[in-house]
Amino acid sequence: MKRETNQRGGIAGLARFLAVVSLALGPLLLVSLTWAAKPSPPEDPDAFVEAPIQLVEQTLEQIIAVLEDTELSQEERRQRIEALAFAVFDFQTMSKLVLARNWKRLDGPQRETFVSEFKVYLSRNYGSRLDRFRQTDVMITGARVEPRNDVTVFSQVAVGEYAGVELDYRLRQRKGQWRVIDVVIEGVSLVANFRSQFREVLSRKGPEALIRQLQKKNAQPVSDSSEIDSAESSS
Amino acid sequence: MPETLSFTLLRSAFSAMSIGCLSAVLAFGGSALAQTTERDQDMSNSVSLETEVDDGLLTQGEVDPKQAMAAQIEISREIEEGRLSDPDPWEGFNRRMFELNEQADVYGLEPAARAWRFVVPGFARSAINNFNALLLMPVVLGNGILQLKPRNAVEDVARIVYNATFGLAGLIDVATMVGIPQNDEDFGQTLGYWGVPSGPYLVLPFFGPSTIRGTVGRLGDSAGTYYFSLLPIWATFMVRGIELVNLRAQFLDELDEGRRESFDYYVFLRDAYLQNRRARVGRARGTEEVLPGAEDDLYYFDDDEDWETEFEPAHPQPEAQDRGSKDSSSAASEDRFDHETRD
Repeated sequence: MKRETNQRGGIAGLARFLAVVSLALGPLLLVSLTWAAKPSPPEDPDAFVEAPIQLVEQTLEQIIAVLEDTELSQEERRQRIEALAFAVFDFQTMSKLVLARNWKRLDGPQRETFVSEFKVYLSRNYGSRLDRFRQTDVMITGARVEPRNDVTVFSQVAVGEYAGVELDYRLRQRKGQWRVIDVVIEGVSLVANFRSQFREVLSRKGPEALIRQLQKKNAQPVSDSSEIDSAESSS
Repeated sequence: MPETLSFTLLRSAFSAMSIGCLSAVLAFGGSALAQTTERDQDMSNSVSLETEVDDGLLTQGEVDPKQAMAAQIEISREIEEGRLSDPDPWEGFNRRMFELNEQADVYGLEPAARAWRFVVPGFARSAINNFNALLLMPVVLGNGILQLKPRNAVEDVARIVYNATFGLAGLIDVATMVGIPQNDEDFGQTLGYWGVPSGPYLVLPFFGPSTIRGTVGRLGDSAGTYYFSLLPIWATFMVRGIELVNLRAQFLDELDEGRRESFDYYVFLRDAYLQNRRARVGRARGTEEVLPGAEDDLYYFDDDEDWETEFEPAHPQPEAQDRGSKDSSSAASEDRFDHETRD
């Protein structure tokens, strides 16, 4: 009798042991799965970077065409560029990258609001800035396959006031489609810079305050058109 | 004689200072200086938050202490694990210097630069820029040599010759037109080239963002413009003053945007400066100066099981969200690149 219970206890103990072990190993397994899931580097890197290069090239051409179209009003230009940007940027991945581990602290609706507000914020601020890049040309200088098959496309402003400025685009493939997930201007990464700033806000005030701040900035008028005009007339 | 000596010292000190200002401005868009007027309008601006926290004025409703604590712990954990090395251990001091520089810019340099841009036509401003670039070429050349780059040295000499002659003493940048590149070298980069680490971030009063390495680099570069001390001192001041205002005028819009759009202007400038310097030193070395793992960490989170899941806007409860994400991520990890769908 005693022996039996012992045995039973043994079996139960073994089961418990296995449960504990599998619980403990679970995360490890998960990690190893993730590692295993890392795609192997492409066999032909030159062919692999073709599609992202083409995407960047096309988008740049389209943007420059819009900027040079003097028929359009400033507002129309902004809207067209915004449409181009919405198609080529992966705002959801960018939001995740920018919030990093803090992404977990946002609940579902907060995440949704954040992604849409961040999208508006970026397109407003960077869209209005593009107006300054009229009469310019950007040439692609190369591309590189990054760990886990992201691709960075390198480019350089060829003429004009900003000649020589280096612009790098990081692209990631999702569902077979390449999209931009970061822009690096002269070594300054948009994702990295916003990440530090948002971390500062989040650590002091929490997600709700960050979203409020984003909304507030988005509610402000875009930028002084008078300022842009004076800059143009003087340069 | 002692008088001459002290004058010379003063002058080289001043040229060191202005070179400092210059490289700060050049290094990232005249970062030296920032605006505080905005914070009157925008009370959620982090700079004002900083002072509110200092004064203990912050309303309780604004901060969730638990969340703040959690985030702090998270950050210090990351630092401990070496994923992030804290780039700014002297933040308290730096923020104070930053405030000082803000004031100096808002009440001194920025209005001057605005007036300058209004009065001086664009071609004249770029001529001044070209001229100053030529004056700095010996520094570029010297650092190119110190970095053992014969090709750069040849280019630099050619550039000096072209611009000094055909370019009418540097007013026109002929060298760029004929395809001689403007190399970007300074002593800070030279130190980085030889493996000197950048050290902590440091905001210098009136000079703006720097690091320990950058500060030493500036002093080194000022030795390369020793010839400025041959000018009478008023001329030195004038030349340097014009140079500085002219350069600031070039970045009026960029800095305005930075101030208006950033969530924490101090952090914005710090990161931009550090990243930009890292890229330049990387360029000088011919490799990227990236900390091991840091680059990868920016774009992926290996240990973050939540990473792969699409967030579902319909989920009202964070708990449900978390559990759901864990399950699906283990299942989805195999097709991680196909799993995510765009909304």
